[in-house]
This record gives sequence, structure tokens and C-alpha cells, in this order.
Amino acid sequence: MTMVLRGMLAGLILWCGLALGLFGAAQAADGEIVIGAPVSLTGPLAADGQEQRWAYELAVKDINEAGGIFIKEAGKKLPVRLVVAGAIVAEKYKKFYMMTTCFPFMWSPQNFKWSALFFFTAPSAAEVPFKIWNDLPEADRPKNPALLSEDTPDGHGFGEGFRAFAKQYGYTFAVDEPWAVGAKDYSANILKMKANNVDALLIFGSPSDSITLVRQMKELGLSVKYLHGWKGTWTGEFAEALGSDSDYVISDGFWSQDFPFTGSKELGECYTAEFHKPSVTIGAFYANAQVLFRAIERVGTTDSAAVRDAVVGGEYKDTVVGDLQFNDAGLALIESTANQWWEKQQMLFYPPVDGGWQVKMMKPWGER
Amino acid sequence: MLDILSVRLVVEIFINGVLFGAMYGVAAVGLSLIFGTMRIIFIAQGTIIVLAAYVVYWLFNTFGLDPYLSLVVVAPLAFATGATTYRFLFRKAAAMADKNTSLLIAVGLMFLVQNVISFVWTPNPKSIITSYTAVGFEVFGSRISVTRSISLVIALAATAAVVLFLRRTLVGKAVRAASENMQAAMLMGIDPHRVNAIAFAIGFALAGAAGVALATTYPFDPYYGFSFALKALIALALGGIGNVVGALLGGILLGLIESFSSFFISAGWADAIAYAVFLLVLMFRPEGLFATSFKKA
Repeated sequence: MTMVLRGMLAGLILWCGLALGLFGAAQAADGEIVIGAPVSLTGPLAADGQEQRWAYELAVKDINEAGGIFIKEAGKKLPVRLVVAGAIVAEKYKKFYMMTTCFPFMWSPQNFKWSALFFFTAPSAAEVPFKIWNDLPEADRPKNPALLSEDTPDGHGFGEGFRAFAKQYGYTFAVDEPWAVGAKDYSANILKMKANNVDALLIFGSPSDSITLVRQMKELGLSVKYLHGWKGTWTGEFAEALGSDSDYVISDGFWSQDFPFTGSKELGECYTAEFHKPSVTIGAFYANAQVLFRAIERVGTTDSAAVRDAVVGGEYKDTVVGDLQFNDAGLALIESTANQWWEKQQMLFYPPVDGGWQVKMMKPWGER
Repeated sequence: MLDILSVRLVVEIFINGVLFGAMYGVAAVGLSLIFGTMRIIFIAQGTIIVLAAYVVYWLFNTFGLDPYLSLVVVAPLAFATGATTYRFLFRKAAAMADKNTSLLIAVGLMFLVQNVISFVWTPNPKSIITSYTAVGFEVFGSRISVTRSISLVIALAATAAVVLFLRRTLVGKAVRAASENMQAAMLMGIDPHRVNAIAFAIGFALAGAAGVALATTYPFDPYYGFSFALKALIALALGGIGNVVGALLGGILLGLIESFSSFFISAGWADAIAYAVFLLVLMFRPEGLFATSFKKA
């Protein structure tokens, strides 16, 4: 899962403790709270980084508009300043690092002392399509599903998860192929799926490869009833690049503006108003900031150890990703979402919400 | 596997291999030309193709210019850019006996262009949607992509134009002469910088044509160019370095190797097999597979 980790890892480092430690109360009295955010702003991961930065900047703007965060030592609320940084040095300098969008199986073995994390586990994400299929009417359940997983450590990791759950839920992949990264030509995969009468497809690949695959599926006349993608189908560019051909395609996500949690809808609308596309990630980043800010306010200090202790084992209710209960290791679990593209909107249908979207089976290309 | 195999399926695999390989081929033709005179592998060729695709994207979104019509803008613009790039970036280095400097410039140019594209258009993948996007048609029961078919036509036309230029024009003959033996060509009064600049200009113009084909057929991002250049390099080696027609055929052969190995073995093995063939050809037939079939264009 290296790529996913690198691509999605998002966090906020609380730097102000260092400033206070060095400069004392005078610094705190007229100071500010400085939060570092290691974000990829250049290179292939910059697309993720831009959403992270946007969400963090909005969270900082919102908290500053509310007057900042009350710090006991300063005797007043202090404004927050965000520094978009490029390195993770929290453990070395004993600065608290609030994280999200990192798989727990990569984070937990590190036994970090200065970080806390909320995200879903990779196995729980891999189980989602099978839970969805089980809830479908019998006639709609896939008979010949296929799996294309990117030929990378991420793809292999997720592929193993999908295979394990397929077995558990009683499905057999008619085609199970590694997916060549950036190859641009997936006609061989598509012809193989056509020849095997594949009716549902799970894909784990980059946005560019996912767009290419769907285009070529249409060109070569491969219609499936269910197409669920991870990593590559959730970006706004996916729907932008495919237009109405993206309808029915299902994407993963970390969050949804359809969540019934306070501020979710407004956050999504704010993002869409600015970028003219939906996002299924920004809520996680925004909630990351929410937890950190609330923790600072809860302890009334920017001392990293105190803030860490407030998060680890703590409960944070009503964030934009819902209630977060951190365990003694500093881990809180959320659920991976499934969203169906419809007219360039991401419609949340898993986990189900009251009155929410009902998943639609894909129509053959010729009938759209 | 055999139970699902049919003649129609094999034909479809073949057609798709040819159509995709033509994309490699047109990139390889550009590489071949530049290598011919400069004696460097112009590793930035793939990124220049991607840049051309972004220009097509920009023309389409800003002026509503049809991507195929934009060829009349993109190809001349790329031609001029190629000549200018040689003049300002490579001219001094080209005069040096050590070609590593030129190669390093090409590497630097590739990363520079990548990052400029990323800054200007963001790193997110882009694509163009037209009425003919993702449309296929049937021939004897086989589905064929419209845009990929047009890409094949562009590749064939571009290669034919280059071959005609090299064989029928005085300047083209000078480029060929310089490609054969630069010292002898200089003794005959051929200006090495002029032929280098022409090779660059044509190489860039071909990148422009490939960019149009790329933009209409696939999504693209700033970082795709490098892997594309590597594939073009394989095509070049298969066809014979310096052999323009061979470069196109090398690209088509590479497309077929990838297509058939993806289907019959696994998509995961396609790249490994392609690179293995690349090494085998260099080991046992370093002049390329088509060296005897076609005279150097």
C-alpha cells in the first residue's frame, strides 16, 4: 500500500509547542498557533495535496473567524497559522502529528509516540463491494465478476483483500489480472473480459488509467452491470474526462457531503462552489484539523504532550466525518464510502444514510 | 484460455496492437530523426508529445477548436519550437564531441516541461470529450476505436511525409547525409547546426502530431511522457536506430507484442516481455529488425 500511503497520507503537525518552549509565555501572549502540514504540492501526488491544502486552509480560516483557539497560558484565543511543509519529522522533534488517510496496518507497527490517526482499514475497504453485492436483489448480483488491480504494491495489497473477501462471500473472479500502470492500452484486458462474459468489475488503479479503461470499454463494447473503482475513480477529473460515460461508475471515498453530520453538506458545497466538482476526500482532512483544534482547546495549551494525551483515548463528537473514538494507541476507525457517479455528482450509497441514493445497475453502452 | 479463443478475437487483438503501436511508432520516428543527426536519445520526446496534447486541450477548451483541426496549428508551432529549442538549448552542446551534455540537457528539458505543465494545467489528468470520443465501429464483428484508427492514419501520414521530405528534398538529403556521416557532410558544405535544427524541428512537429493523437484518444497527465519515451525507445531499437520507416514498424511491432502478451500471458508481464525483446534485439540484431528490409530513409 505504499503508493496509497504516500498519496493519501495527510497530517497536521503541531509546531507551536516548540515555539512556546523556546520563547516562553511572552511568545504565547502575542503569538499564534503554528500548524505544519506536510502536503505534496508538486509531482504526481500533487492532486491529492491540493485537496488537503484546501481543506486545511478552510479549517484554519473557519477557526480564525471564530476567534482562534483559547490557550490558557496566553489567557486568550490565539489565531492559527498554517505552514504547508514538506517533511514528517514529528517523532524526531516530539511534535504531535494528527493524521488521517493512512492505513492503520502501516501506521500501527511504527508505534509512533507522537501521532494519532483516524482512517479505515484496508480489509474493511476491500469488503465493501461484497457487502453491497449481498444487499442487491438476486437478479442484480454479479455472476462473473472480474478484478483488475494495479501492478503495484497497493494493487497487490488490495487485490489480496478482494480475493479473500470474494472467497468468503462465495464469488469467483472470472478474470483476475494485474493492471499495467500507465500502459494506455487495455484492449487485451477488455477482450479477455468480453470473452469471459464478465458482468461486474472491480478496479484498483490511477485516475488516468481508470479513465482510459472506461473509455476503451465503451469503444470496444464491454458493458458490465457494476463497475467499482478504488483510487482512480473518485477524482473530479474522472467525471470531467468521461462526461456522462462516468454515470453508474462507483468510487471509493473517505467522506461524503451526503453524510448527516454537522457541516458536511456546507463543506461539500463550499468546495464545489470553488472548484466546480465534488470531493470525497476533503471531509477527512477538514476533520483532521477539527480534532487537532478541539484537542488544543480542550487542554488549553499547545504543549504537544498534552494535546496528544487529549486525542489518544479521547472522543471527538460531531466532526464532519462523524464521531471519532480514539483508542489507547491513538487510532480511530471510520468507514470507507461507496459513491455512484451521476451527472457529475458523487452519490453516497454506502454506508447507507436515511433517504439516500440507491445504487443503479449500469446500462449497456448502447442503451444509454 | 483456448476455449474462449476464436479467429475474431485474435484479429481484434491484432488490430488493437497495431493501432496502439502506431502511437509508439510516430514518437519513435521523431527520436530516430534527432538521433540521426545529433547522436543522442532525445529522452524529452515523450514529454514534448504530452505538451502538444496540452496545447490541443487548451485550444479545444479556449477556442473550441476541434482537436484534429488543431493539427494545423500545433504541428507548425511545434516545428518552430523545435528549431528554437535547438538554437538556444542544444547548439553549443551539439558541437561537443561528448554527447552526454546534450543528453543531460534533454533530461533537464523533460523535467522542466513536466513541471511547467503541472504548474500551468495542474497535475490532474486531462482529456478531451468530443462527439467521436470513445466511439467504436464494427468491421466483420470486430470492434475498432474511431480515434485510434485516426491516430494510425496520422502516424502513417506523418511518417510518409518525413520519408518524402528526406528522400525528395535537398534539405532532406542533407539531413540524411549528416545522419550517415556528419564529417563527410560538413566537408560537402552542409551546415551541421542547420541539419540538427531541422531534425529537431521535424522531431517536434512529429511530437505535435502524436500529441493530437494522444489528446483525442487517451487521458494524459504531465508525467506520462517519460514512460512513453521509453516505449518509443524500444520501438526505435526494434526498427533500427536511424531508420525512419523501421521506427514506425518497430512501434507497431511493440504494440503487437504488448497486446498479445497481455492477452495470452498477463498484462502484468507485458512490459517485462517488451523490455526483454528490446534487450534480445539489441544483443542479436543491434541494427534493428527492419534494417535489411528498408533502406535508411
